[in-house]
Amino acid sequence: MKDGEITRLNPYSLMSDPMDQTAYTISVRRDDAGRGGSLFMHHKVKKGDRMVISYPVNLFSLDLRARKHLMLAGGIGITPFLAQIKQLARSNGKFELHYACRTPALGSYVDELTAAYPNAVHVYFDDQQQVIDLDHLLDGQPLGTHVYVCGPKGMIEWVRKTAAALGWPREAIHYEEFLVPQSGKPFEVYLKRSGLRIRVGEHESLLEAIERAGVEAPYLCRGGACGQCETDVIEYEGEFVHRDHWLEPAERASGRKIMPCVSRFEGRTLVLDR
Amino acid sequence: MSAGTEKIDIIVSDIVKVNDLVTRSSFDAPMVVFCPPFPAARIRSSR
Repeated sequence: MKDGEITRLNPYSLMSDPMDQTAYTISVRRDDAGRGGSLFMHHKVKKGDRMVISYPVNLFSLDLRARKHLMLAGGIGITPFLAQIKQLARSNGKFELHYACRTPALGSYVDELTAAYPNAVHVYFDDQQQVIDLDHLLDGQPLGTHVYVCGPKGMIEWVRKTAAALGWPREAIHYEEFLVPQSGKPFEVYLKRSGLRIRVGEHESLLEAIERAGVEAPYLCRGGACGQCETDVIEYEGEFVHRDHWLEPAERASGRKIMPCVSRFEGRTLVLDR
Repeated sequence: MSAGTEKIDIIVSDIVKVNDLVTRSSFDAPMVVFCPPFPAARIRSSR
């Protein structure tokens, strides 16, 4: 989306019924301290506006081999579950949702979820000191259950570690965390194949700077999770600030790879194969 | 699939304020929904 001179490319979870071929629906949480993408969506986008999007991709799909789907959502992390629940309801899939939010006023979609699925949806409000009893919840699930978590980083870590400690198999634990690019010191990069020297600004990602220079670069999630934008480093003198979930520790240590959607660089020289 | 090259034109069809912090937007998408899970070989982690 064009926002003045800025092109905004933000990933959002589709929350509408996957079988609905007439429209896509998303929810946007306003982040007043963010880089402006959510404020743009809240304040500038109007009914009737035209936009261009990439084809949807699914990095957080249901494993339909599961006998039961145990869903844990925190805050705006509810959105992918809204689509998944519609999918499961259509196929009579067994699910249970535990949804934690800060206050009732901020509990987006609580009313419609509890009305539609009163026996499967459990809501917890932080301001009422309601907390998910995770050990008990994970310990009491039937064999063949898969757990899914989407929410703040701390919640995802909590669920993954607790499930692992209780012996849940890794392939039965699913999580969705999209990072947003963090601001940082500006730095220069030489794109060897393109023959371009570019400057990455304080508030833009390396991927955005590459795109701004007119160089086409692959991407999907733009959040450090999918691996699509993995880029080879030809030469460097400095330190990488890796923030992705994709590269293995050995790859990070090698200095041969960078994920430009979320990671940055601090130093004198960075030459990329792009 | 290369998301950098395949695009869909959409039109904002509805905007609803959900609460103070969340807005729900719908977009007419006059294309068939194409939303496959990633091929397993491309997914390195457990997701």
